[in-house]
Amino acid sequence: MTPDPAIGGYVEQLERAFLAVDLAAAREALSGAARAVGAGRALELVLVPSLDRVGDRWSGGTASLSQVYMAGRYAERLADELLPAAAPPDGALRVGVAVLEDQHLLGKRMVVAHLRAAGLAPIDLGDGVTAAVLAERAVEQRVDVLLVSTLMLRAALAVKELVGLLRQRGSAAPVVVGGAPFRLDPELWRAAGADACGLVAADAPRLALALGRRP
Amino acid sequence: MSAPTSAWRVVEALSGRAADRVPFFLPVTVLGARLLGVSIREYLSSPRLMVRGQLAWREKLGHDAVTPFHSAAAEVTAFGGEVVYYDDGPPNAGQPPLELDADQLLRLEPPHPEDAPLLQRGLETTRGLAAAVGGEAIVLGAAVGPFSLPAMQLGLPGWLTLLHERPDAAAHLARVNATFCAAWANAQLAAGANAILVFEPLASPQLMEPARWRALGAPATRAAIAGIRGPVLLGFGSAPALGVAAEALELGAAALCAGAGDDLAALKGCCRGRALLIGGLDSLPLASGGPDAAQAAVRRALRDAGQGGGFLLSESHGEIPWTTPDETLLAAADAVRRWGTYGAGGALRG
Repeated sequence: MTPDPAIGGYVEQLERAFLAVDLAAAREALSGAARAVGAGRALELVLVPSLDRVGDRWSGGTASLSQVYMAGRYAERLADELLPAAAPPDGALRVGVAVLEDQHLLGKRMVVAHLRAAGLAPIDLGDGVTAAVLAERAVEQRVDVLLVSTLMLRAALAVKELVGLLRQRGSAAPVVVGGAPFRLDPELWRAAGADACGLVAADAPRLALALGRRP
Repeated sequence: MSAPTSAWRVVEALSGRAADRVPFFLPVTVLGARLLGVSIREYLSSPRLMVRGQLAWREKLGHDAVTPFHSAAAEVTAFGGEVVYYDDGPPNAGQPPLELDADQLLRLEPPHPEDAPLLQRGLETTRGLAAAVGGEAIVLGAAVGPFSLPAMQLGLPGWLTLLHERPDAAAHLARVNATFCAAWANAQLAAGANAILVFEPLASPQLMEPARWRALGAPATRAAIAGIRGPVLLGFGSAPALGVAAEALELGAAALCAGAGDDLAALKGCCRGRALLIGGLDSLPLASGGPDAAQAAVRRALRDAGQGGGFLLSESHGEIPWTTPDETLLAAADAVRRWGTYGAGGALRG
């Protein structure tokens, strides 16, 4: 089905509101889209693409991390207003998220916002957790895919231990990593034994869906 | 004529002139523990060990400065925060000590740095280093900038939220931090530091939209620098500096530090005649690239920014990663000595 051409206008309007960090304007844009195509379609066709655009601008150097974070935060709030969060239904993809080793929470918050805006229900496995604790929690929660945020190099290097512990415990859940060390060293995620790397938070839903549903 | 000293070399560079060679400093902080064979926690808990570690690295590398730097997290202890130690990397800040409560934050007053035991120990390390180097090398103190300290005081999500939703409380917190930053820097200068590296990563447009930085960050950073009674070197962590360099130069800093991936030649153009440029090595490639890659990076940096003086070769994050092999650092140091000597008119001989 060809999307309503007016949808593109809402995406641009919402992107502008996000870049201006203007919650009221963002709400107005998304409400307009919801009236036009329904709440669920507005999230899929307007909210997620506008977040992607803000993320792309950050990658291209024309937006700041601050704008990306606030866009994610507002997106999460607006998604809740349109479609209140519910527990994941049986059979839904179980996406675990965590910050490994330290208390730098920004990346995980952005990833959670993007996952929720994309209709996923992430399972929070903690902040500042060690590889051993995270592996244990991921197994307990039977996650299908594990998204790991890091900031410090030592945390990024601890991903290798995490992957080893997951496999020892019988979990085949793919591990997706993200954070500054992996952007600065493009080969680091492979060396750490991860299955994929997200360069921006907007990559998270796509990678979670692609890897989590892998047979 | 007496032999050139490290301190002279750095002062010449600060003045935009070329000395005998490009000065350099590889910020080995927790690597002192590795060199002395003690744990990072033990090392950072002992001013005596930190002085020994810095001196041992200086002897090994022949670089032109030493630093009493413990960790950025140490400063948050003055606000009630905690430092979390690891066996294989620098310490981090623990849970943010301040609540995201605008009314409470508007009542916050700056603490005295000397009241925090960890910062007192930092001053003891500074005094020890100053006595040991006796003016021959630069003792480089450090302080977190007033606009970036809240990333540890509140956590970065909390700080970004406050900046956008309660700019009045954000401005107050930045002012409190400017007073604290100047006081902490001045205490280090009084203890024997010669210059202060102020880390302000949130000034980078990669992290903060420029309009918000100008409105809420730049005034606080300017106030902090104005209050510091010595030369200030302004760094941005690993965040790119080029986008903010022209404005940052207006804040009163004597030097700017390049971030990871910055265009060094363009930054040198911004700084020429106005400030010293510091940088040239990015931390992650340095950690994993090996000696040959480190030497190549030094040569590129010298080519892009070394000519004519006004450049100090260093690493962009302000801290060499724990996993960086000694051989890599020795190769980088060797490359500066080999290709970083100045001839007539400040032309590089290499």
